[in-house]
Amino acid sequence: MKDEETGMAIGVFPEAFELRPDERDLSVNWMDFFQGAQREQLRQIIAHAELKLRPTHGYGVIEVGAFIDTCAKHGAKVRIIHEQTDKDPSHSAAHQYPRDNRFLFAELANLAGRHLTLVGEINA
Amino acid sequence: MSAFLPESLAPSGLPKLLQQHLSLGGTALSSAMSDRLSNIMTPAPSHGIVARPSTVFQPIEGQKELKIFNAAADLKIATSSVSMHLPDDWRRRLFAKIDQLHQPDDWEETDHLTDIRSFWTFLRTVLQQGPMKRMSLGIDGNGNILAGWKRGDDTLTLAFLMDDQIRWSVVQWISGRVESVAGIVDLHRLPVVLGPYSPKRWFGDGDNVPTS
Repeated sequence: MKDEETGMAIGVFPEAFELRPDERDLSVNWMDFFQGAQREQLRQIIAHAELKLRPTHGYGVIEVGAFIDTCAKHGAKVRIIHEQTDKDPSHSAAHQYPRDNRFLFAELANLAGRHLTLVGEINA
Repeated sequence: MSAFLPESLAPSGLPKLLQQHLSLGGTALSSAMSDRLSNIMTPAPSHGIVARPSTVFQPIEGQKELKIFNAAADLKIATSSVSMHLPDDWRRRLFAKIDQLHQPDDWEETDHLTDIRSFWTFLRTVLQQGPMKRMSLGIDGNGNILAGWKRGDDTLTLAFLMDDQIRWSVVQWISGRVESVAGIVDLHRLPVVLGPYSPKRWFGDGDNVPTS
């Protein structure tokens, strides 16, 4: 979500937290895998991303505990497992993540929108 | 499912936007656009609407830029057909957002084009609620139009589905605790379900938005 007056990224749509039809788990990154302050961790995550990222893409940061608690509140007992890939050593996945839970997606999106960083800001 | 072209798009009521597209001249894009417009400019029958083929849910394959251009043009044409109900400035900003959302570099070959049926639901919502202020627009993986508002830490999002259905959610923080509601509603019931969440706060208040 982008503010129309300032052009700033101000939030995330709940749809960003939906699994795609071919996904079983929600892909996330374990920030603390990388050393440094949050900006450096995000820079490393972007550098190792397997997706084709554009400056307008964004990363929302949610603490693991808050993520798990929010899911639990909405009836989902998720397990977050570090599953590094060849290219992305911080790659992790939220297992048993629900395919359809609008309340949860909306709340996670709201949480992510509170700590949102655009790829363009990190690479600037 | 087809989209319908209102009579106001017949040649006599051709909006400026279309004239500008027609005068681009020379490029493959304008040629294709002219072909499409020549179809929709055929005088409407007496009942005032003509069906035209819908391009919804077509994955982008080949000629990506042309298809994205056409998808954006479809949205602008639809908007122009109700432009008499929209302030010029609001409509111009909407067109700018449509262009922003249809930058070819932001689209993958496998993405679904914007669903015109979703956009009609969006437009009818705008006509119902009035031109909504400080609105973020997006498109989901199925080509549905999304709109969102953030006021303080609270958020309202709407996903416009076909046939005037709207998926909605409100998340608000009250005394440090989060409260969320969500659902799917028919457009005519939207004011009722949003009633307890102060629609004016979202749609009418453009001032209470964080700037940093």
